[in-house]
Amino acid sequence: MVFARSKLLMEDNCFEEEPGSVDIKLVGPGVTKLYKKIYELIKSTFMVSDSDIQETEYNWGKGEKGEKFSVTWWIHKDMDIFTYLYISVKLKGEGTDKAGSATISIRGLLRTEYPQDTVWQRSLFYEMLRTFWHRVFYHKKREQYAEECRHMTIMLENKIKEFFESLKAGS
Amino acid sequence: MAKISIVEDCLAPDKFIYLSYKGPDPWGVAKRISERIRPFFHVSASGTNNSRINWDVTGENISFFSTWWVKKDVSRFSTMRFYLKVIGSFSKATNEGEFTLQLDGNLETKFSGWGPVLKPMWLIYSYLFYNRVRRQALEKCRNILLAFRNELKEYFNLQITEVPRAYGTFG
Repeated sequence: MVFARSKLLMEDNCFEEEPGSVDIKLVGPGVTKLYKKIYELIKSTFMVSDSDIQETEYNWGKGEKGEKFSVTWWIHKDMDIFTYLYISVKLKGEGTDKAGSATISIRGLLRTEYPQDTVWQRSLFYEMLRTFWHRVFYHKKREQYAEECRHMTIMLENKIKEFFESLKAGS
Repeated sequence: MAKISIVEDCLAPDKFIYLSYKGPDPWGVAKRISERIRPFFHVSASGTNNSRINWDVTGENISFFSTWWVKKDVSRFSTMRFYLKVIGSFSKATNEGEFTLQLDGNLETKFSGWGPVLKPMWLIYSYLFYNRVRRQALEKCRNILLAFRNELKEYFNLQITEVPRAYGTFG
């Protein structure tokens, strides 16, 4: 992320067509185990550390019928000094270790930020150079990053499905 | 004397993180926060305050609202501030209920000096050195909030994931 107070921000969905997210609905045993497992899968799939993941919401209810939970993570993966992937993973579920259901929604955003702090960075000449460079070189690079984002999102989806299948087989 | 003041959110791009809980002893969160706030944040009595307690016993349920702030110095120029708010209710008969805790923090940097040279001095100093200190402090501030929320999760026997303990990725 660019460390600047004023920025020019460009944001695109990793999956260009709406809804732009991947949704998974799972029904079966062991849904409460998904919380820890998904966190581990996020780290390994996106190759990020704990400090790149922010758990913005954590709701957990304990009752006689089982547990009910809803968690949101935001992942921030730097691709280069201007571009990063900003991915949200939402997990919602309820049930016990024996039976339950869960919904997982993954949405990826590709963000590019150009600093606009100084007089030089706001000048017309700088803007012309930046636009030229962006058109000629960087546009292609951003397309590659978006593709990488799609690959990683699908990989996470497959890994979650695999884990859920192993839970079903183990029960 | 002129002054430059910069206030940054620790959890940017989000402003807050949340912890919601439904189950037995929701008021325990307030007791736990008051108990742990000083040792956890490493501040003296003047560095923290339970600034508000609202307690409503009318009706079937007891509802409560409480706020805390913590002030922690980083360096001569910067100070971290943390704000915690908890709102909840529980049944008089069963002691079961719910609460939502909202956490946020900011880093305030103040730099003062003789007017005509203040801005160039600040620009050089921040570019060469102090921006890295601020960036490290922002990471530390965020990590403290995430770790404190984890501690509260542990108190209620909720599932936790790892949170970053080290800081200084950008140092």
